[in-house]
Amino acid sequence: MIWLDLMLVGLILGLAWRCVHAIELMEAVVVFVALGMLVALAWARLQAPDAALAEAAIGAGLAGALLLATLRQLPAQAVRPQPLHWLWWGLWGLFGVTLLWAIGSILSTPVSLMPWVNTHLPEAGVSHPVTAVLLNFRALDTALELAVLLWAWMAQRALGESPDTSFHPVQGRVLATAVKALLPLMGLVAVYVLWRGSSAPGGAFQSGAVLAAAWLMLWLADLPGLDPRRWSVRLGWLGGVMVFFLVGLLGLVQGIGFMGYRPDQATGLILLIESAAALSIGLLLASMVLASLPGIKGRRA
Amino acid sequence: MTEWGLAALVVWPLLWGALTLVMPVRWAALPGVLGGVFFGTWVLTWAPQSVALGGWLPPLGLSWRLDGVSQFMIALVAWVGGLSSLYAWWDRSLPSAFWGLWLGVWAAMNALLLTADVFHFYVTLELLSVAAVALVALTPGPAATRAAFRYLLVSLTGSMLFLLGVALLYGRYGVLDMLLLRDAMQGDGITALALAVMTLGLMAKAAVFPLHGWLPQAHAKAQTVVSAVLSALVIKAGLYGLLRLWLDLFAPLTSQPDSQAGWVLALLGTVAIFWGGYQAFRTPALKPLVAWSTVAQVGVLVLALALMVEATTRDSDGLTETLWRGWVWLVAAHALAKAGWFLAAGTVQKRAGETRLAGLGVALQRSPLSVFAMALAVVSLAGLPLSMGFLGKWWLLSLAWELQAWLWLAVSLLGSLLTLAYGWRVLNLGLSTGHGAEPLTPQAPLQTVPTRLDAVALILSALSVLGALGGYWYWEAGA
Repeated sequence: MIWLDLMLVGLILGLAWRCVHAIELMEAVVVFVALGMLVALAWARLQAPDAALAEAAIGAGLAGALLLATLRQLPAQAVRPQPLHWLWWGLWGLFGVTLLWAIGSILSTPVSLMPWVNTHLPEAGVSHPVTAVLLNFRALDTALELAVLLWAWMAQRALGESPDTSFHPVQGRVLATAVKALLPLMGLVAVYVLWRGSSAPGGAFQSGAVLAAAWLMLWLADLPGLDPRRWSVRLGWLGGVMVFFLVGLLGLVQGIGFMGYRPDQATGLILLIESAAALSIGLLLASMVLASLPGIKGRRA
Repeated sequence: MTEWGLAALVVWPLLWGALTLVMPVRWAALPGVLGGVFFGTWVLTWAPQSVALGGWLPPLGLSWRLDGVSQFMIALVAWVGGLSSLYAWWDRSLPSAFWGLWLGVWAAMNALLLTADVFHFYVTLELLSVAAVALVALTPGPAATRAAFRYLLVSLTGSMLFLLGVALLYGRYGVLDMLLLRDAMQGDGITALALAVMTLGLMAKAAVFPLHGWLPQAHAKAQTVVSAVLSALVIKAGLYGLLRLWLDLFAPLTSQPDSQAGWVLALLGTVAIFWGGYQAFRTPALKPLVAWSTVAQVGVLVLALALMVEATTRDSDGLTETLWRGWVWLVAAHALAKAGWFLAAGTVQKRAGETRLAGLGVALQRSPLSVFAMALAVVSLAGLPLSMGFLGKWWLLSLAWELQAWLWLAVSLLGSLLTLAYGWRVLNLGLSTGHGAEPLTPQAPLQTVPTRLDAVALILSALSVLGALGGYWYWEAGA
């Protein structure tokens, strides 16, 4: 296995180098997506499957889609990387070596909060430790991360025109039929990933990524999609944040404290939050990609 | 009851900010702002306390800590933010997307000031940066977009450095709670490295020299009210972080008697005071002048931090009441004065349809309230007697005096002189009778801008002077 790991490390470093030094922006984006997949593999090797799933779906998949969509709007251009002054090489090199030393000395004295998490896992309402930390022990972190996503979308809306909805199908019937056949399956996968999250790797972010892909396919096939003028879509954007904080306030009413759940209701409330969050994440991510594609209007197959 | 209030400090602006996406924007903004001011004022009456969120005590859960510093900073955000919101309400040129983004900034600031957990601090920084960068980019045109993008890159790099420091701390100590970390802290290399990268990250966000390059463009190109809240409040998030790191979290390291690290901060602050002041003195346009002044004033606040760190190395009391009260007072004086100055400057620029000082003469003379606002802001920033800034400067000078740090004492006095010098460049134009070097014929007809905008700027500046009247209550009765 050590050879596999070394190969992975080498490939990641090589691709990162290639990504930064690519002359064509298109090449840089493609390399970036490949890099994301390899980083996902690295997470998997580090036995962090949750991080691996999120990295593959969002880091490589949707970030790649966003970059490609942005690239379409830029005039074709070649960037000429500036050569770095040797002083910077020295500085960054020193920083890298120091970091390696620091991480090396950390590894010899491993400490973490895992014993605490395991002690309190029975009261958390879910049996997967990662979900317990994200949705219960440190719920406010996750709630504010959802808010970051919502505000990123708000920022994008403030800057660009609203998503173009008068879009015509890029392909004919084959795509539409395929999408109709695939959508129920994707919905099922999303629900399964969400449900699995309570006892195994999975959860709202991963499920939301699947939903986002499903919505994008809907849109590609010109089936009724994500019209931002529709109330259901607008409410869907904020649903995750709203439900999360309202449940947080419910904890205050019940005397558990802000962002707390009564242990016997924890499972249900966490599932409720995760469902709303997954819907919001899916809608937000899909809307972000769509809003980056105004130029595609009217391109018929 | 206070736990409800604490939750409302974050949840209230956040939920109304989110609702701007589905409601008529101003209908959501009004309750959001009014509630923000209400809860941010109410916070002053609550007892200092810790709250374990969700009932999970640290180290497992994350907690909020309300102490004197966070109390006064939250109230400052509420008041400066509330008055700036009043300006925004009357400013017809402002895009409606401002409100949702601004309420997000407000909620993120409150969460950042409350948290006692280093990772959660990072999360709040992230929300703050996303919203703040978008606020800069609200101004149409390539110049503002370029400035916003630069701000985004610097801000993200800062966040990543901070996160790296958090990861190092977690790897070394296995906890994320600030109090637990402080108690466990050892003076080893990893901890020092964590302090270094987290400091660098926050310095980039607070525009501390030499990482200030993004600020003059970003703050000068932004919409008027955006410049005001960014300069008065958002960069204070980074400075507040530096205070927490150097005088609280890493205190076991920084307060060692032989620790010289504080002097690095003092040196950077000094260079910032002179470089920012010099640039403000020679820049040709009004809002960049005010933005460069922020670079210099950040230098003053960093110099004050350095002196406080030095004071804790001399005696073992740590962050005493006198120390934090003085610093927060200085921060408040700067926030009020800078918000007033930026709002007045933006109003005058709107009236003139022009940004260069040389073309602003007539507009300045037709804006007596704004000129008065700028004069009061300069008085307070320079620390002239009887103003709020004076009490802050007095505290800083007496701290330097006690430490026998004559060089830094001289630096802060010279900084005040520089403030007067670049402030006078503006006031001179507004007060001259037209026989000077500057021609007073308007290049273009003046735009009609409602006088109430000048009035809001004047209220903020006046508070930065009259705030001194609260001195007894703040320093004596409160202590």
